[in-house]
Amino acid sequence: MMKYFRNALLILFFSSIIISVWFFHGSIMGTGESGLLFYKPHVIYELFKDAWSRIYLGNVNGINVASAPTLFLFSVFETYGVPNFIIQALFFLFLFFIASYSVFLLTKELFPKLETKYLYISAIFYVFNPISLINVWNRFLYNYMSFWALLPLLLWLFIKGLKTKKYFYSLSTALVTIFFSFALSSTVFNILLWALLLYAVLFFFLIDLKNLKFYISYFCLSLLLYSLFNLWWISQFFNFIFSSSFSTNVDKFFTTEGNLSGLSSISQRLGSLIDVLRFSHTTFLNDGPSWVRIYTSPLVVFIEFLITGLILWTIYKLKSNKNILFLGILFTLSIFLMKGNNPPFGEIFQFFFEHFTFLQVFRNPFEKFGFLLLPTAAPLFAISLDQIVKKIKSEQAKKIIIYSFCIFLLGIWGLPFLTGLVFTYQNENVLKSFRVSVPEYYSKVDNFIKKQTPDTRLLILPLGGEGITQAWQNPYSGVEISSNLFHNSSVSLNTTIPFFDDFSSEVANNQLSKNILNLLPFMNAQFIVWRGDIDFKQRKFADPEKIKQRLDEWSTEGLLTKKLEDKKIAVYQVSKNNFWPKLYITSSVLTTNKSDILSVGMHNPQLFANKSAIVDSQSLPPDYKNLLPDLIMPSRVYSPSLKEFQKYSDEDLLARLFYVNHLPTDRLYFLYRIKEVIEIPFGNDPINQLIYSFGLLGKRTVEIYKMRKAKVDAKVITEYEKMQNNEFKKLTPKIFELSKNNDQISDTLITFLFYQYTLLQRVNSPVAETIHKILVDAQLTTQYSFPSPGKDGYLIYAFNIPNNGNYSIEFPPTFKAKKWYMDGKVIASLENSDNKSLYLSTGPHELAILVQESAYKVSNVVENQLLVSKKNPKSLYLNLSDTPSTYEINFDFRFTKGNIAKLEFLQDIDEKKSPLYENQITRYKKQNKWNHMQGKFTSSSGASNGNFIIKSNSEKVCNMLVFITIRCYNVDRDFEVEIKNLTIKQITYPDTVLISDKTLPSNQSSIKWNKINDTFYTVIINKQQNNPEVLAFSELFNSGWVAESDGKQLQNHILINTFANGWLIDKSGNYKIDIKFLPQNILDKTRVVSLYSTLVGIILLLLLLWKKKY
Amino acid sequence: MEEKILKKAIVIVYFAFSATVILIQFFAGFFGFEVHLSGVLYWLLFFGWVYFVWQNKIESSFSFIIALSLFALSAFFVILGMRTIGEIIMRVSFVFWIFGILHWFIELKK
Repeated sequence: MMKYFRNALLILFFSSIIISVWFFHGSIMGTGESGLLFYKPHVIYELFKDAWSRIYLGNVNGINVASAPTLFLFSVFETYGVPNFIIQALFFLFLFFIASYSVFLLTKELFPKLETKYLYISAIFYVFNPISLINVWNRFLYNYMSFWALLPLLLWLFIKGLKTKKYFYSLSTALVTIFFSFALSSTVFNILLWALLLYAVLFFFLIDLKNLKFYISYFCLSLLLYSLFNLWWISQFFNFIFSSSFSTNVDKFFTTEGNLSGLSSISQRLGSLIDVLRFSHTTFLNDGPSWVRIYTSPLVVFIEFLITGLILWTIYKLKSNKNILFLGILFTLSIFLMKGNNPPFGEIFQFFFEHFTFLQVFRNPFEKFGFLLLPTAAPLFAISLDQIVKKIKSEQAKKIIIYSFCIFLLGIWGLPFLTGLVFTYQNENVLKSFRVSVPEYYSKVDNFIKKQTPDTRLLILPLGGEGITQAWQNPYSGVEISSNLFHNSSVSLNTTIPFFDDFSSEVANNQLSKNILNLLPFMNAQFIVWRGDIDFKQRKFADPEKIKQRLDEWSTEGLLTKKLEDKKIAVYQVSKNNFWPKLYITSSVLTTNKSDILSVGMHNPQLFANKSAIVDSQSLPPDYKNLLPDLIMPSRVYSPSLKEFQKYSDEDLLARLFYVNHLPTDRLYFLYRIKEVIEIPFGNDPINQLIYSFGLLGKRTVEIYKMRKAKVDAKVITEYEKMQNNEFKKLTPKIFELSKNNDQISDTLITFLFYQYTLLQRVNSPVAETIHKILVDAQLTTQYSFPSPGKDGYLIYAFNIPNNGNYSIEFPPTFKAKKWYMDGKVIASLENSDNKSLYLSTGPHELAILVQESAYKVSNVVENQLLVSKKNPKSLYLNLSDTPSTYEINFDFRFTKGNIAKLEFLQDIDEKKSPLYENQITRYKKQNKWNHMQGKFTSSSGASNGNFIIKSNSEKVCNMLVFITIRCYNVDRDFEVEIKNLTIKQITYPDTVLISDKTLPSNQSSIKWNKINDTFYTVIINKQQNNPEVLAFSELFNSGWVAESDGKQLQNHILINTFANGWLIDKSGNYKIDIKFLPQNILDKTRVVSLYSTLVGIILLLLLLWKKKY
Repeated sequence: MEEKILKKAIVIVYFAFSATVILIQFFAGFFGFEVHLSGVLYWLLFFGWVYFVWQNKIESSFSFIIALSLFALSAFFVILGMRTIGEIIMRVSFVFWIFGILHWFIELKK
């Protein structure tokens, strides 16, 4: 026993030294997705202790509540005045010690005769290896670190139980998980954990082929106790899985195709066996900080292969030993899984990945299955070393081998740990530490706001994506951390939380516009916090100085009041008109089909003047559909592209589709079809597969076109056209999906369809009709024919009418149209008409407007003649609109020297290396003819100006030096190009909507409300009439929120104001409503179950220990 | 007699198919087509090796030795900077290794 104690003490001592090196500077560390947890642990604990978190606009915690006990412990330390960096250091020390000592014990358990020095080596191996370095410590996720420490401990206990056949270890295994519940706050780790334990049971049973009853009951008891002890967070996990929030999340942000695409890409990057077998993370080695280059040196690569070679050799040599075989199979399995769907046999991985959706959490197999590799590789390496040493007779040689490997483990693999380099990243060739010092002014602002209003929200500007770089003395780079810095919840980022993302995108898009003030009431924000200490270009945020300028302007206008300013932070109070409480009742209600508060408000300004509710029409109960007024926004707006494509010659269109040299009538044609089949990108990226399918469609179209032109046998043509029709019909669902996307790939593929339609129409092929029908059904083109627009153009607005009725067409007062058509029929000019009302039936309708191009395309830059060359590049300045907008570039060009030039659009918020738009112009077949260039880009939110640049194209040139080294450098290609008729036009489709002729009587109802806690509110309603009104509750919409009156749940729970909860209320009178988050009740009850069962478990464990029954 | 013919037929079909796949892969690389048949080759190798081992009653150790030798060869190429060829050899090595492990487990149970 003393020996074990001494070993533990030694490992603890060694761990303490390493942790001291990491924290000698006296600062906390934070980066990546872990944020700044140790800045104010009690704030984070408050966010994760309940089923619902008030973070952002509110969010369900689900499995994240598993982190609450650990966070509670940190907050207790904080309360007692322990410095935050010491709390973090103690946490790391605990994990380091548990991990290394558990591996020590695990190795001892598997190989009892192994000398102690090898047990230490196994512990060192587990701690100091590239996977632990990159996937655990540099990744800097606390649940990853916790799982890394938990895994060997759990495996040791579980295997000990399997070997001794004692249920005591089943109890111990389950109890341990409570102390590491932080590690279990990830679904992936729960799956990994139980897959590993299941493997252990199966292996020992298959080897034993006896005691089946014990193995089954041992595993089941462990699982049962684990479920019981952890019931409180497991219940939340399942509650989340079956909630509307989860399904919306999955529908909106995840698809099997997308996940598969991610898996394939990661597998290709990280899944090479030559890297996996060396525990190497290729991307990190190539793009990581400069110090990782040491791991690419041939000597290090050789030793890494040597280590794996020794492990494999030991598995082979000692495979008769069941413990070696246990580890050997697990080692092989881990390698197999870590490489993802890469060959060999990647198809097996992919099959399970595609067919068992829950396994799609393993999108990054290298990172996740790497955890399984370590507890197997560490004991195997220790036994390998022992085997090698046993084969050597010379004592000196033995020592040299052992010392050499120890030096490698400590000095090479361990170097980043011993020096603290593990906690660094590289930015623009500068090595930066994870060490963070938050400026004092944040505490000052937090305290100020907390005193003023502890419970309303903040809007934090500038606002960008999930990541942020805070340019502090010790800078922070990672996930946005306002929820760590301020007690009040805030809208401070744009992230993929259903409903929140719609609202925050609208906020981000309008952060330079005064319109943003109209969004504040809906989010219950009383203060705007301006932050000037961010590296805005690195993260493509709006320029803080420009935001400040606007905020100050609005303060001058009396819309805001500056309350505090300190160095790089300022606080503005929102005027009373722009502040609404979190709970309110209103009869000012409008239903709409799109999440766009500002567009709705533009057509209905009184919505901003009084408390109002904008109801999502899809969530509206049928009884109310005909009662509430509708504002219908177009599902799609476009200027028909057909006009544009009709201008193209047949040759132009053919050049844009696939090249076809052989027609189906050729003898060797079948060989080309075989080639096409072989080339199908099977098992890889589904997006590539879709592009490939569209490419083939294009080929078939060209073949049909050419056959019709060549007037070949009509039977062959008919047969091919039938086949092509079927192919188009098969792809119809995909085309519908593409029509909803707004990305470059979708645009390109849809344009492909237009080319094919135009081409086939010209040869009178019936396939053109099929394509046209699909394009119409997908609302990509108009189904009606219109008179030629001449110099003008048509704007098409596609609407889906939910209910029969009279609708008025609303459009901006300055908008001038030449003619209006509804469903292909001319309607009276609307500009001067008082009666803009039309009767429309339920279903799709099409509004076409004949307008001058200038009505939706405004020239911002015009250059008639330019000469641009390498020596004389051109930069054209462009003022951008306050909100993201689409711009179209057009010009004619002719090369007089060189063949290629580069085009860029660099916004004021872009880093030079990553402009918003990049393209090239090239000389076509060495001709000196004039060519036309057209391009489009959409400006980013927060950008206020930019430069369109024409410059020389930089190319990488590599030369081999003395046949050994390759030296590469960039060369700017020489060129000279004449440019004429250059225009950059802003495309803005006039905001046109349909409004139903319905009104609701205005009521004078009022409410009083009280917040009991984050998951429970009480409301007293005073309602005068029976008309429907909306009780608005500005927390993120979730089906878990219920409103109860007299013990009965109110039925009409709806989505309002893009993100919030609302209840339609008819009943008049004075009555009380309780609003609560139901999963909290489950959490409260399961907490009690877990608490009592854990207490019983601990007492039982102590009893068994006392009676020495282990 | 019939069994012999069947065996020969299997071997001929196997090698003909493998040769076709290799040729397609080779020509595709040469002419710059995007062909994705490499995964098939490892399956072919695996089943070919299963058949060979079954027919010749070879022990699992043989597969392990091939796997370890190929591992060393692959490591040699990678250290010299030839990653692509190193990866291909390592994949082949892994096929033999997986087979060796499975075979050993079956031997153990016998």
